[in-house]
Amino acid sequence: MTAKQKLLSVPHLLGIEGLTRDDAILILDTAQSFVEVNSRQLKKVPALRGRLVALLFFENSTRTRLSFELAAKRLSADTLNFSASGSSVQKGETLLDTARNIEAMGPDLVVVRHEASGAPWHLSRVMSGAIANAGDGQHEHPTQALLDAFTLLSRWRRTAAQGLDGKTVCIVGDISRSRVARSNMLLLKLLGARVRVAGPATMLPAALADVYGVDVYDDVDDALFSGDGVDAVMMLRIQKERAARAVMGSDDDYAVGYGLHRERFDRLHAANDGIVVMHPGPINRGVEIDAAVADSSSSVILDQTENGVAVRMAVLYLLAVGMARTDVGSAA
Amino acid sequence: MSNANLVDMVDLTVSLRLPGAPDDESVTALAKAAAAGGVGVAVVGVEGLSLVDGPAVSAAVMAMRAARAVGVRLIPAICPIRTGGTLADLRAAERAWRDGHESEADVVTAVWRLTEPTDDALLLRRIGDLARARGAIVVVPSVDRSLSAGAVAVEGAVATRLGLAAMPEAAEAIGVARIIEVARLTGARFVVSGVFTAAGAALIEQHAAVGVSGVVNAANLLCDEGALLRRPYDTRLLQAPPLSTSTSRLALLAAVKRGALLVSSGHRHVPKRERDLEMTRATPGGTALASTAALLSSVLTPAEFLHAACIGPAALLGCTPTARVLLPAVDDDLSILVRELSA
Amino acid sequence: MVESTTARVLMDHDDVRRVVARLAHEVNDALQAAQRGPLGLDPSKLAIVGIRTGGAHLAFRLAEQLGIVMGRVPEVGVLDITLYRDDVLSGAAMPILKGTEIDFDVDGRPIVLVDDVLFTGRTVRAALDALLDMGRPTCVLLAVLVDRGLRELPIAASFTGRAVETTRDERVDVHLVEEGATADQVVVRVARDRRAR
Repeated sequence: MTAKQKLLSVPHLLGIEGLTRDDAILILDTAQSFVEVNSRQLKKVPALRGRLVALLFFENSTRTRLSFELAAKRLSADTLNFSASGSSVQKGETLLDTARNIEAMGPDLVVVRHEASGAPWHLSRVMSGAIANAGDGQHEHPTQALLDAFTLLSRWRRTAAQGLDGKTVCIVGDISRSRVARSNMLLLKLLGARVRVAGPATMLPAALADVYGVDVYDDVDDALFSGDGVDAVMMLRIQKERAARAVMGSDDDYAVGYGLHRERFDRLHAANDGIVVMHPGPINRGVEIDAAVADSSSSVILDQTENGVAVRMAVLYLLAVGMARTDVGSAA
Repeated sequence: MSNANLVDMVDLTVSLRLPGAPDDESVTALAKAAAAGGVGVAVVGVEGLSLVDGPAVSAAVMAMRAARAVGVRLIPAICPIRTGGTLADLRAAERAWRDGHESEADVVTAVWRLTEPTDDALLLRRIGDLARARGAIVVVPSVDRSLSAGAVAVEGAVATRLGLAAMPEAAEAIGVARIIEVARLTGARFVVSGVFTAAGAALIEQHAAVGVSGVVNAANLLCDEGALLRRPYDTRLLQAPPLSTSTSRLALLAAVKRGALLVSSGHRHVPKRERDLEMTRATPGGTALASTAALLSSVLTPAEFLHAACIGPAALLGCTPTARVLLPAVDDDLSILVRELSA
Repeated sequence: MVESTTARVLMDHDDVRRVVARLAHEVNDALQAAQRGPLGLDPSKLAIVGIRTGGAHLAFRLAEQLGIVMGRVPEVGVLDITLYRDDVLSGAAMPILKGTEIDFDVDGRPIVLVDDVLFTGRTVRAALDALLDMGRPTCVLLAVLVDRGLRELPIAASFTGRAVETTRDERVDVHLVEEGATADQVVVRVARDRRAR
């Protein structure tokens, strides 16, 4: 057989932290193959036929769940849906109780979304299937970061191996509570990009620069226009329910101070007409981003959603083959 | 570790929990565990046991007798001031308690304990006024509640990386400063429990003359937040207060060695089931009574331990510690963990 | 790389060239005949699809030769069948995806599927599934450089470059210049522990 086989260095996808650059490249390259599958009329391959993918969503997220479910179905896997609402979780069942019950059904892959940081890590200790983190608390949302990187690479016509060297990406919003920001800071840096983060001072944890090696700004215009400017801007969703915790003023204040409104976008576009605008969705139109900007040709928001399926197919596929390799290894 | 000859440990902030088997707890069981761990006097926050009503008082008195039978003096701490509690509750509890146990010569000094931090300075002041009149000691958690709400870690690099809800170290500086000023204002004796920052320890040391002392949990002398990174999300490391930074840990240790801070065995053991819970859903744990002395032998000399865990607290309570042979540590989770981490 | 003691050369550089040229003629003859046959194939719609990785290179060579024979180079696509293999989750197959690149519509076309070695037939089975998922060709023909026998499925090549009898403990390696070999070569040698190709 050919040279040493290159697979993921980790048995689970718990976060971007812990992935090597080779891992990220492998996932992104594999996702590229699935983009081709998704462009076919018959968007389905038999790779995971007969495998069971459990989707454990302890926290509501229709979009991410649908994306993972579609990914699993396009790989011909069976899916098992578990969501917290209307389930025994509301009757006080713990994560572990639920996990053990699901475990009895023998899932090969477990996709988990939970409001507590570290929940997927916990599951990885008690379940035999491979775990894919679909967002845990304020910790990580690795598939979102992977699909964001994938979208940027496609937009800039680069391969994953070429990476994001020489590009500057600015993340704007509630950095301290955002798992999307955490995963993105890690992955963008891993792929060689320079990362700026911006938000009201109340949304920027003190240790940011030290931990992630990013440039921190509490003035969004400084972040976007200082130095050589930026190549892409990622607007985070403002959680309105969190506004009550005195971390921000009104929606209007935020929109003027930090949102990507028309005037700010025009200035950005004038400085760099190749600027890429991203948002993980769902969008609060008129708050963190202007409706027309979200729909402009600079926006890749719909590409992000579309690429999400391919990236999640890649993650499920690689975790499944990784597990198969481990089984073979331990049996030998 | 070989057996050590030490006087009784006097623990100011023990909870009514049995190490190793928290589901099977009773005052008797706690007393046995305390005795096995070398604790001679334990101030016990009788959580969930309101001392306002007669039966509860009788139960507490029975518990004290049971404890004495195995060689432990239990001092039930009145803790009626919970969130939303009023001074009337405290007065009622105090009255009921006095009526119920006046024959018990064991209680040297009354201890009142707030199980939750308060940022209500007025309430703290009234408690101080009353405590001074009664000669009671008030044990208060160190942190300011409004800055520490929901936190399971200290703000900083570790919490940021792991995405954990965190409090700034300033939560303690603010809380301790408030307690010091109230102590100055009222003349009451306050014990700040669960001190976990260098700044909090320094404030207490500077203002010792006001009548404020501080107690640090054994766990905060042994581990710092770096342990969270080596074993992410291990709920055995979930502490109340949280594990501090390494700078703070060293400062706390130095303060204990200088005799400026007292040591307690910490809060409670984390049962096996809870170890599997997510960090934010698990209740805080800590060292178990039985192993504190053995654990601390790695960072304190016998003389330092003697002062911080026996003589110091005994003097505060106005009792005389007695000699006892300490047994080697019972293997509980934190002692195993500390061993793993230091390996 | 090749252990000379146990290896024998089945085809050398010139053999491979000649065989591909011959296969091109055979394909052309078959298409011309079929044009008048019941299927009514249109040779101008012919497309060549190679199975990654060896078959892909051979597909481009075959297309080039067909260009000489037919006067027009047919379209060429490359098929990655990893996702269709029945052994990818049992850990036997190499799971890294290189991607399918078929930029034309396969509907209504005669397709010549190209692989380097025909062995158990499982690869071809997977390739047929993959191809049929992409559309509905009028017919699929199979061209292989080497048929080494030992079929496990009822699959036969339409065009065979060289047929050779082998045993299960032998493997047939096809070295092509496109893959970095100094010269094309087909070698049969004894495989020790690996399942042969």
